[in-house]
Amino acid sequence: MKPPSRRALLGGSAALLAGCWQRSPGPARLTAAAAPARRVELPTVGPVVWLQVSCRAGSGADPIGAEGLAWLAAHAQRHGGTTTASADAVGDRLQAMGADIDVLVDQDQVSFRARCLREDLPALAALMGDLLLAPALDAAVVERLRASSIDALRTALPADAEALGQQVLDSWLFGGHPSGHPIRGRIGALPGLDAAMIRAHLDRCWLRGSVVLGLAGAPDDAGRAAVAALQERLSALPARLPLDLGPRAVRPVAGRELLVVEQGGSSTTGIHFGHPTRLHRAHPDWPAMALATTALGEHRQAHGRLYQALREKRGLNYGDYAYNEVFRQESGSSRQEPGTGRLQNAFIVWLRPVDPDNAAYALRVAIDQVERFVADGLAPNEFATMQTYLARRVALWGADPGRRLGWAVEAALMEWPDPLELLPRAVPALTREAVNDAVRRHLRPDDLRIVAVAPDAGPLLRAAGVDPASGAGKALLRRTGEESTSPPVGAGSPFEPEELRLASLPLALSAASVIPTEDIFR
Amino acid sequence: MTCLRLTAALVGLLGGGPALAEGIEAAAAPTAAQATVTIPAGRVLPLELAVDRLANGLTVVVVPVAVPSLVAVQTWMAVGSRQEVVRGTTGYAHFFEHLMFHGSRELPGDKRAAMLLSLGVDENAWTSSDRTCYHLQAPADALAQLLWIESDRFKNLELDQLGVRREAGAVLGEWRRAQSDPERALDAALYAAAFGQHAYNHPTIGLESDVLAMPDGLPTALGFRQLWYRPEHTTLVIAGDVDPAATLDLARATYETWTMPPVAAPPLPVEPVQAGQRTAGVIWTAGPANSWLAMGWKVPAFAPDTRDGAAMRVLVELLAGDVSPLYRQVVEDEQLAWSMAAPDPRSVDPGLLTMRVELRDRAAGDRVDALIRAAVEQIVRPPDTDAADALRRRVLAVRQQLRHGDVLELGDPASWAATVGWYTSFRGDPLDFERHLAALAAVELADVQRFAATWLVDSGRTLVRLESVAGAGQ
Repeated sequence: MKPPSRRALLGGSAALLAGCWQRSPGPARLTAAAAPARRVELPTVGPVVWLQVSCRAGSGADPIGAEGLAWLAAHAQRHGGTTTASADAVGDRLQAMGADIDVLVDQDQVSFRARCLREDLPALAALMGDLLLAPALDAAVVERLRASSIDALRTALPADAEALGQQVLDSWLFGGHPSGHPIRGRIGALPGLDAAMIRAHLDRCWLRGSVVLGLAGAPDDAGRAAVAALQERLSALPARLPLDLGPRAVRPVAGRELLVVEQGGSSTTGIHFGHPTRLHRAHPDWPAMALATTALGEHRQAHGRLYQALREKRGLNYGDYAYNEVFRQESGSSRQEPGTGRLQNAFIVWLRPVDPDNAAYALRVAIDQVERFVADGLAPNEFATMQTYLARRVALWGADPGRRLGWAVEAALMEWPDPLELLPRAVPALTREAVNDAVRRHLRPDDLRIVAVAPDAGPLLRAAGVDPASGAGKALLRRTGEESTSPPVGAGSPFEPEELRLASLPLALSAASVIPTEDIFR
Repeated sequence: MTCLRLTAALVGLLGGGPALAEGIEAAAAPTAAQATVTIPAGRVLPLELAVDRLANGLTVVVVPVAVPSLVAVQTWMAVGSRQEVVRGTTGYAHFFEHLMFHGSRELPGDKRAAMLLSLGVDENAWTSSDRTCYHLQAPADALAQLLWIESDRFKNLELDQLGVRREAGAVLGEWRRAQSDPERALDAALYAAAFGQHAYNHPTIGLESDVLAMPDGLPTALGFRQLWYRPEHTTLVIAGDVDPAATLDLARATYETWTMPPVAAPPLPVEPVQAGQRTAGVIWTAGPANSWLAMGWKVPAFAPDTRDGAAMRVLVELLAGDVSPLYRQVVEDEQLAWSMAAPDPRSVDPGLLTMRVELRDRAAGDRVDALIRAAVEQIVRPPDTDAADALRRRVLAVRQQLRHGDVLELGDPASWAATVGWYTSFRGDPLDFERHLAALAAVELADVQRFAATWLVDSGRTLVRLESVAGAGQ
């Protein structure tokens, strides 16, 4: 088997991926692991250059009982100084360049990204190498970062109802799986993490075959030499086999299960629902499902079916969207952040906060939309519009050279196709039948986990035919068998027959439970 | 792809070295990209940048950018919540931004959206206290259609009661979302306490009573449009793989028919000089939150070409930037706070230079306040020659940081359009961006000290504390 190519091909990449991440070593895998560290380069013009180093181990590599270690390690690398420069000195050097190095930690990958003016590239490349490969891991910095993670889980996350709902769903779908804990960790595990554990983690994860170096720009000779030197340093990492971080079996969802997180101070109800899928970026159905969720509810765009049914029809909330993976938005835009792709994914619907009195209705409308999407698929006109739109829109994902580099590095790191190359080629070749078939294969509206973050679980439970007084904590609550939901309050005009029909649709829950925010992520 | 040979001219501008005589030449591109980009010595913006002010008062700026085959179209309105001076109209600049997506009789919202879909357009909008920006980015071959679609909604917007009611629901959802953020509550309290007359005293999203009344706000929305959504308050910026002269002609032809009858806009109130420190408190009941401390000093309106405008930016970074002594002491050494931030203080009218500190413990507030005061004093009056020299070196470092940082922001066409649009919307001149970079390069310690001594004074300061009933998460 050849060493992993920079741009994995569709179809072949799935086998390559499966082959690379199995425990039993073979000579080809050892050869691949021993090859020089990979490098991705994108030529651009102008005085700005972008530098990135990514490692194929994120929070999914956290040992059991040490959840949060990957995040802590990456930030300690960035902020804890080097063996030759204190944290303050590093800050001063970056200030002089007007540059920064940002850290992105996700489930399956960690990325360090920077940009600078071309004449600063030698200094930046050298600094990047020192931070990543010779970190000082200053104890005070580690302690401060650890404390900030605890505070983030205790205070910031429960205070952000939408982020909380997303995280609770993620953890619920992948409970017991490395995907199942927040990237920041668990409150109970964090106090036990220290610099020695960080060092062990870095030794375990930073391997020659697990890193990719990326450069975008038009560097001069000094810059080129500096980047080559960084690549040499990365190539001196151990040539051990990469960690076995491949996808693991996930217990499928059966029926519709509702979990209400009671957040007493909230005045609205936000909803997330979904189920795990077999999809990932190298899956043959990925382009089809990308088109499908674009039609169902593209992030922060108004054309999706969910948005039209909930926000446009009745102004019920600020927006409604659908995804094939956890979507992390890049700062300053509504596009997905490169470097956040995962091996293990889920179909997710996000309903932004609604009036609590309208939550049950909003949930019914959203599930109805998914059911109809599966049953009927895209209409011919709708398919044609989305196909044209998505094929053209992908060009914008790489409008910024740094982002374009991010997609390319991720593809090389994860050994799956670069969406910026794949989608413009694959989307025009799709047929409506192929997309609708993929939707039927991958979406299961009868098997959903539903998370609602609400001030009071009672109204939603009663509307779903569940007796809220019949249990406490995570206990299964008793069905009363009588669902009742009204059309939306504050609608301002007479209800249409269709809205009355939607309000009467059964949710048919198979399970329901309630949990207060204080009990989350302990 | 258009190729650039960038000489040391630009490096000279930014690194303080000698500027060279030669500029940049664009090589012919083998693709459809036709943008010609020349960066003269001492500049960041291309020589081919084109500007025009139409007869109706609208300003058009075209910026060729060497990013192949993409274009950004941004409409910058010199309109924000600062114009919400009539009772009952808070939040209407933002509400109207939402309503602008409802289209016209010929091109109603859904048809408009369908056309944009077919072009592969990424669009959105935002509103602040000073500005509203409608931004689109698309493949460059869509430019002519984009301009036609965009101009249509500005020229021919049509609203109806049902659409207003629906949109009011969405805005209410956004308003509710904002109420769950303690930092927003902190900010709202700070500005409400600091401004008695000027419309900076209320949040851009609006006050609850006005947001709840928006379903019946069609007449108010139409009135807002008549007063403020006018070509003379508009800057159209087109950046990307475009031919400037041809694009200017196209924009002219598309937008010059936008006319509106004269109107007497209400004067915007001038905030009286603050005569003493003000304080306020927020009791947060919407769930767990850390304690917060925020403060704001009254500062003059930002002028891009002035030494004071540059000095203000340098001061903010010097005082509270991530590598400032104050930040290191408060966040890293004494660990009194989880974070400390001082946002960009530049505003159209006299505004606030603010700092926000998320405390690790509510008892740390007084200590943090004392450290901030001490840091200001150390800038205004360094205790000895060594301290003054160190400060002088830091001013040079911050100048470089800010200038480099501003250039590093220029990546995709949208970021070019955003920078040019923001600066142009002050005085109608995109070269104000260059002037501001030049002003930054000229700032001296004495300028920063004079600004701090004049404006960071107790009589102009407002202080707010936020405490959560639930405390931090347990």
